[in-house]
Amino acid sequence: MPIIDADVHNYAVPMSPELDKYMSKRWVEYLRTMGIYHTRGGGERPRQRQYAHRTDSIPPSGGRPGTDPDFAREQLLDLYGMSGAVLNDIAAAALVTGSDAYPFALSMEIVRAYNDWRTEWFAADPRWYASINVPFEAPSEATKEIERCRNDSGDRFVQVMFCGASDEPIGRPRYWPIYEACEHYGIPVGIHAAGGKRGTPSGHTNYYFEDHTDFALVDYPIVSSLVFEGVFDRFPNLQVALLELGWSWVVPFAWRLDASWRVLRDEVPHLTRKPSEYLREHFWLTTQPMEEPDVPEALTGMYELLSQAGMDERLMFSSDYPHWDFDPPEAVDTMPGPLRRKVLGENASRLYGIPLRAGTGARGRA
Amino acid sequence: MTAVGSALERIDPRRHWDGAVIDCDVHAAVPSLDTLYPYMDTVWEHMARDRGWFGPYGAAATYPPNAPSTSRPEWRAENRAPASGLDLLQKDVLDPMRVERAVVNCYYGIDTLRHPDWAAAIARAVNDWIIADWLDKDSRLVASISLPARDPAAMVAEIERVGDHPGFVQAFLPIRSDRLYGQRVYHPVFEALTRHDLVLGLHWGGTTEDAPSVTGFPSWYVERYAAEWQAYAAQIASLLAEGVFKAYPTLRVAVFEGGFTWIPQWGWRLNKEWKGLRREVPWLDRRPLDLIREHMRFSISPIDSGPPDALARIVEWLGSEDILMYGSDYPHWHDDDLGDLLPHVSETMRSNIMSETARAWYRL
Repeated sequence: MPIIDADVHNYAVPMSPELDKYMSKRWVEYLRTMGIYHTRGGGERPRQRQYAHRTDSIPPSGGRPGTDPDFAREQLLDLYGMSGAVLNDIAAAALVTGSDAYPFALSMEIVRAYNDWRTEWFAADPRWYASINVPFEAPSEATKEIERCRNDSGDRFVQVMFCGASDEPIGRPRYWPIYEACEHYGIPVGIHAAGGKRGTPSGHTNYYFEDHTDFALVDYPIVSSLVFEGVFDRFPNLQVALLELGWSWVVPFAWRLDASWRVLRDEVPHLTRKPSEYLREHFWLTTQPMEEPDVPEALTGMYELLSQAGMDERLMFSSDYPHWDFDPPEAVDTMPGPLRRKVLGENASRLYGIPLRAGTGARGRA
Repeated sequence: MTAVGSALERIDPRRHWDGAVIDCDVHAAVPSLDTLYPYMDTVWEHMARDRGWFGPYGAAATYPPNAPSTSRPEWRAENRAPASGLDLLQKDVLDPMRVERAVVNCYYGIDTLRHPDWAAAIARAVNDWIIADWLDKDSRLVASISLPARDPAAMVAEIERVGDHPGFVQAFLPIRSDRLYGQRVYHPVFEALTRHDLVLGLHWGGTTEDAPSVTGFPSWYVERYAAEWQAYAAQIASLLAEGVFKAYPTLRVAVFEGGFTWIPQWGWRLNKEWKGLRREVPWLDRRPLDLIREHMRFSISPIDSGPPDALARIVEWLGSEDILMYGSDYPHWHDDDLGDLLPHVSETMRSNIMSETARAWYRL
């Protein structure tokens, strides 16, 4: 069964060799002088490792995990016989929005540098694909960057990246130019788990454990905003991928959206369909971190509920390489065969246009 | 707004259940600030009248008075705000629905008011009004203490003041706050609650200075309403992560108007993150979902049901027959049907939901 990994991180930081070569002297010097922290606000919760990484993912050449395309290929693409992997670098999104802010021109340059560095990965192996980093709080600049990346690298850039923490709810009209561009190019918006300005509706957490758990809460306001703002009525071909944001929540949340709407629908007459229909037709999910119910048979039950909800064609395997809570493809072995085949590769292939390589990937079971 | 009728029979216990009924969540709405003046020092009446201030806006923000979800049409009385008098509660719920006992929650939005003394005075007044106009007049009722939720010291003082009144079985906090409730600054509140053997209620509502959502200020009420699981889940994660149940092993919690169908997958996530990251929070020395089962109870209003057989599986994955409590959530309107839930659980669980869990939890 061919495999596509929908969520891989190749992690660069400003003031590193990978990015400096794509930045102007003016801003390289600025960062050397002013550093990257002076704009940072908010408290910190140190991650369990410096880069939230697997300890074996440090490349032999040294350097940070996820900076060496050849080592990553060995540990991921070749080891598991993958047909493709989508590189999502949330650092860029977090740097220009989230908890940090830079002079605007520097933000633009950082975002472009990440996207330019990505082209080295494209050259290193045809199986690397990527999301376009954009300054999504500046939608007109964002659409220019989408155009630039698609012109330069065509369909290797398969998605436009948001991180979960936006200044306004993500369905609001200010972001619509980005959705228009995505619809134009036929690529989805990808929204990735990340810490940001607000940890929770009730302020910030104290612990990385708590923070990491709470990342998945962003699913609720994201889906709610996109649905109730009528984004999918305006952009009927837009697709949205929720990355590292869990998947089993979608079953009860679809019910909740519909129940809320049944009582309050007069507030939003611009919706032409039930909320759960939008959910089913416009959203995609990734598997990592894979559920571990305390009653193992609940997992089989949850797969059934997912299929009943019509979301079995929208769940995509993801590894989150090189993070510490990485899932190998075996993490979905408990799925029944047909579902497993869809999840391992077919669904992502359809969403991202990544071809599946016959004869590669995971073995089927008898 | 379409308001022909709300299919009240779908949540009427008499249609679905022959046994005892304990309603864990009915509301008393303060008719106006004037109602409370007899229960507070005159300086606060002068403060309000001088300023032309008519009470905290928080209740109207969280339950817009004319929104359909704020009251079933059958429960809107001519010229009176929904749930604004004991007579309405008796007529609409206690008498017709054969309710043996009911827990009264009065969310007056006190948390919008930042003046610490004024907020504390209003909380005291609400609690004294609840005693005089509700608890003293109908022996079926017990109630939650309203707390000035911005000020832990004032919360402790109010728990000490009224916590031993036999009619108060719980003290509640609104689910949104500027600071997560598990954090140590609130621990004296939990100490006082456990000393007075009161349940901690977590209830819809709350006013924050920053956005009530991770992603900013929502545009639509239904948008905010549907996504509110984010607020409930974060507060529960905080209580767990901060070791509240380790420090206060006898603390009981009840959660209202947040639903429950999200709990199994959230609990699995908490368990999984804990497995990898528990070194950081060594006081959390048991699986989080087990602690939820042991220390928390959830009202079934809303149910937010899907296909009944699918709902039944989620209920099974809650992993406890003791975790759900029936509440009408009078006068609020959720599009629920007890018939989606009750026939699909065991007889024991049906009885637990409709009365016995609440009876045990509130020592009734």
